[in-house]
Amino acid sequence: MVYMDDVEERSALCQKLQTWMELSCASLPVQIVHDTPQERPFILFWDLDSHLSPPNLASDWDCALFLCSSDPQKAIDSYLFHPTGFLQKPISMDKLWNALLRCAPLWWTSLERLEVMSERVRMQLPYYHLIWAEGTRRGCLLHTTCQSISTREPLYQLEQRLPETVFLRCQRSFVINLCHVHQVTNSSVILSDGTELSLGRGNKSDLLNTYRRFCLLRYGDARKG
Amino acid sequence: MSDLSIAICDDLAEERAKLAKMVLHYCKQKGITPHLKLFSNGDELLDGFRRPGQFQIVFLDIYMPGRSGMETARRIRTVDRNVALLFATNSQDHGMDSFEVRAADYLVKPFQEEEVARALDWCLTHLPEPMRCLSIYAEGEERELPLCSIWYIDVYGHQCHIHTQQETLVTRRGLDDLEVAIDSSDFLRCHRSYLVNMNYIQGLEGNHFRMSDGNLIPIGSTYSAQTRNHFIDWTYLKAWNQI
Repeated sequence: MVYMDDVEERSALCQKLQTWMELSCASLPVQIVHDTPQERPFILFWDLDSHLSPPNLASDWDCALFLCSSDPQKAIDSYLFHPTGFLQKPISMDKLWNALLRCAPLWWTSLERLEVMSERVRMQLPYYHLIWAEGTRRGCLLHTTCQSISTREPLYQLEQRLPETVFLRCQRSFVINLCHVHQVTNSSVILSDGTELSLGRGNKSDLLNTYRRFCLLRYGDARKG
Repeated sequence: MSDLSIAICDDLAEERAKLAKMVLHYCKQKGITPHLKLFSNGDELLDGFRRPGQFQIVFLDIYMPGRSGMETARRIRTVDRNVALLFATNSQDHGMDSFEVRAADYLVKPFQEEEVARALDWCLTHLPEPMRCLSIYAEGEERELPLCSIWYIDVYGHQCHIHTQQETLVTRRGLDDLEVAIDSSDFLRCHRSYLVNMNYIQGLEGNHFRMSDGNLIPIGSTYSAQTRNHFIDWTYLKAWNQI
């Protein structure tokens, strides 16, 4: 839920929340409120510069309150409400991303998942945790933040089930998650788990362009590209 | 809550003593036994802060000779993600930074005893999971068992065996009752007779969980797929929290 009087600031925050959901592969409804919410929200962004003072939610494990203001001095006063975080306006994508990470258990169930069958166990992996996938003779191997999982499904088939915004084929046998790219060099891409994958000749310009677009969304600039 | 481990870090002896007096008075009113340690700078505090959970609450001044209170707080967060950090300072310039280290409160000097009490009240009601305890009556005495110390619980006859790193405690409380009392997302009922702390699961082995102590805990056939997915999901959520 978002409570913010200024229309421009409000739409900028909602836009950023949509981008965050797209990149994190999460799906949460964003609701704008013009008054103290009647029902207890999961996550509430409240603008201290608007005319109403925030509700006393006493930020608990089942609810996250983020207070926003263009005045950084209000950060100290905001402790009265014990918010989960304080965001200075204009809110940058990076700050918003870190703030939302703090309350991950609240939106965890809304993460979109990839259903795979591995060793007779059906698993539902959050897309965000899939770092990269490689094609093997017997299907493909999924490298996640916790473990590597083998599946009989061919890479081309799996690729079709992955969201295009964040997953990209960088070589004939590799599909990578752009959220986990640490660095792109002339000939390779380095991922968050330390893996360095070579770029296919035909995929290079595509990858650079897509990664530049991704960085614009994620960081607000193309610095990493 | 009967014991509370608190650190106060301030370079001015007079300020340290004043705050210590307020904290001791609060603890006396609440019937808490305080374990109070005073430090005169950030390095001294970091030297004394060797393991997570050593202190439950830390009061920090910001401007101190050597390492600042904010820098000290950042270091503390690398050791302990859960300790409640409270800034007690003259400066009003670090409100934004205080949120980055997930401070519990920010008190601007000169503050009143009521402000300290209000901040401590909030800390006590929001103690993180590793500090939560399970009250049990075992072997002739009342025990307060930190949840983080429990590996798993199994049923044996009409008793439950609570396995911890140090010992195995026997209690007459039922497993359903203990599960309700524990009420933690870190614990998983994987079998009619077993409740496991997922932090101590090393991995899945066939239809069992291999625990850190080497024991195999069976996964009940009724909930097999559900239990496996729950555990896998939990490991991803834990990994997410550590990103």
